[in-house]
Amino acid sequence: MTVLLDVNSVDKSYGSLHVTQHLSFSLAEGEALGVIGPNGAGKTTLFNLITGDVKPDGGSLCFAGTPLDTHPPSGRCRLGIGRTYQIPHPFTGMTVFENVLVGAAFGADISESAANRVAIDILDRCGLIDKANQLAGSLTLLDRKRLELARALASGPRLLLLDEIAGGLTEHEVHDLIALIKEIRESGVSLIWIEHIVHALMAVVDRLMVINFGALLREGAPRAVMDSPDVKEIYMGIDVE
Amino acid sequence: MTDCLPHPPAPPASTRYSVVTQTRFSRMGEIALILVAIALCLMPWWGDRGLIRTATEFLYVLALAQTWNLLAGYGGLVSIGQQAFIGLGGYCLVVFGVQMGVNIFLVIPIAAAVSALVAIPAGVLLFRLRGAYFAVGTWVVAEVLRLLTANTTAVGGGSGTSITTAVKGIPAWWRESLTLWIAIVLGLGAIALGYLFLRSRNGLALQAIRDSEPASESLGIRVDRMRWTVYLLAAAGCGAVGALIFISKLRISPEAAYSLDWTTTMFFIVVIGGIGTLEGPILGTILFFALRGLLSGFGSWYLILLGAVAVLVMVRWPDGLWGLLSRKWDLALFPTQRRVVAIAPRKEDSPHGSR
Repeated sequence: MTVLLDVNSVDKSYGSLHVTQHLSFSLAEGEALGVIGPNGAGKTTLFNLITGDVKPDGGSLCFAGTPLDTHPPSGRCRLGIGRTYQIPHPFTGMTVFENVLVGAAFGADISESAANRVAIDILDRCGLIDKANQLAGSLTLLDRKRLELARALASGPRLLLLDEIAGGLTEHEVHDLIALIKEIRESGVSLIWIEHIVHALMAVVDRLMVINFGALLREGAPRAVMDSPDVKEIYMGIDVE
Repeated sequence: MTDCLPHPPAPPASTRYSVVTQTRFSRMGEIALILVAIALCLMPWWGDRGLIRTATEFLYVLALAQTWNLLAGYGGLVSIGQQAFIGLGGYCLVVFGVQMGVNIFLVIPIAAAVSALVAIPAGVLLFRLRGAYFAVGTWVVAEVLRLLTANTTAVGGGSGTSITTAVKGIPAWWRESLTLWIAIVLGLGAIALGYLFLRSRNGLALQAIRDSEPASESLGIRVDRMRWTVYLLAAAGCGAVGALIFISKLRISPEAAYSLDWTTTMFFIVVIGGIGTLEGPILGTILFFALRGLLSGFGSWYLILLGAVAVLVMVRWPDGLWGLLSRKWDLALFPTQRRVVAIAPRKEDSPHGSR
């Protein structure tokens, strides 16, 4: 199995607050990794370190054999790292179609006519084709989350980082989203998924990683990780004693 | 019968839809722009001198507003120092036109180039700053240039100098007509260029940056490169307009050339018209000239009233008066939106109809 992403002893602190401490892990091509941890554990910072929005104080990151430190976020996107934001960042003054077109034209770096076709097919796949001409600012939360996903997909990622994409959705909506994410996975895209809705994660990921105070607490098969006493205590707030 | 047949897989969506940018309004907008351009070009034969002067001023103010809209509305670069380049452009007339004897109208492209060149080192410094710090930084650059100019006796120092020697031999009619024609090129050209630019691939990036910088960057847009493009274009535009302004005024001083008023005018127009749209600055310029005509009798109250209008619009209609109008009637004179339309299925295709 080839390693797609290699995170090696990465550190990040803001003043005396260590948000990431000697964090190391790797992700194989085609793998789906779930990330859980309490609020403020450094999960989103981990994504920001991978996408280049935040620069690490130490350690190194490598994507598909390419060291990432000299690549700006836009360059990392073109290498094949796509992301969604916890709070959707739609281009509110542009239509849903144009939002996705940006991902295809710049992330995948293809001509506008080719990007048009990619964007239309992805909108169709994500169930947004009927809203293609609406301004993204007018969308509901579920559709904004779908748009985040569609836009990231349009950039043709090899690795997709999902940041609490199911947060705030109803049970029924989560169900639809899981189906879509499974489909994305099956198309060969690797995933790292941060989520508080654990059953959604369990339905998709191969491996689960628990982060607490910026450090790796435990990782392994999802069921085994969720059943371990320290995870129950720290993450679920269950006192095992 | 047909129910027994296997269901054919749905064709990919990209074969069922296509993308258009033209609308009925966009044709009207393009035609209106051309008609206005023709009417303005013929103005020396049908208009009087006062009207020509007003039209010239209207057009160069419109050009300035469009450059500031590009900068602040799309690039997110709120500059309060664009007078730096207007002043530089104006002083290019003194150096190249008066002192070196270059034809004064040929100084205009030179002024654009000089401004863009000076913008490179200025940008290297300013792009380290963000938001309000960037804004103050641009003002500092303009003040530095003003002081440097005021202390250079070769260009007239603090009291300024006259440019009339450079226009000797050019008949007044020709000078005023050429000034108008160049103002048309700059004013309407700024709209036409902005329109073409926004409909291009780069325009897509620029609109994305306007709406969310982090999302643009994470989707592969080189935000810094776009910012530089916008900053240099705006500098060149202001330089060219600066030269034109002082060709029509024929006298230049550091106080007038590097005046903050230029930027506050652009700011006022873009904000009341509608920031981040092509139509907003057009409407804003019309309103600015209308208000100025209406309120000019009020003396110093004029500026206070103008300020009150700006505050009112900012509070009540943050996307400007064009935002208000376009929302109400779904208007777009220069639509840059790409829309997806379904291609009507041919009759012999799929008896099940479309999904």
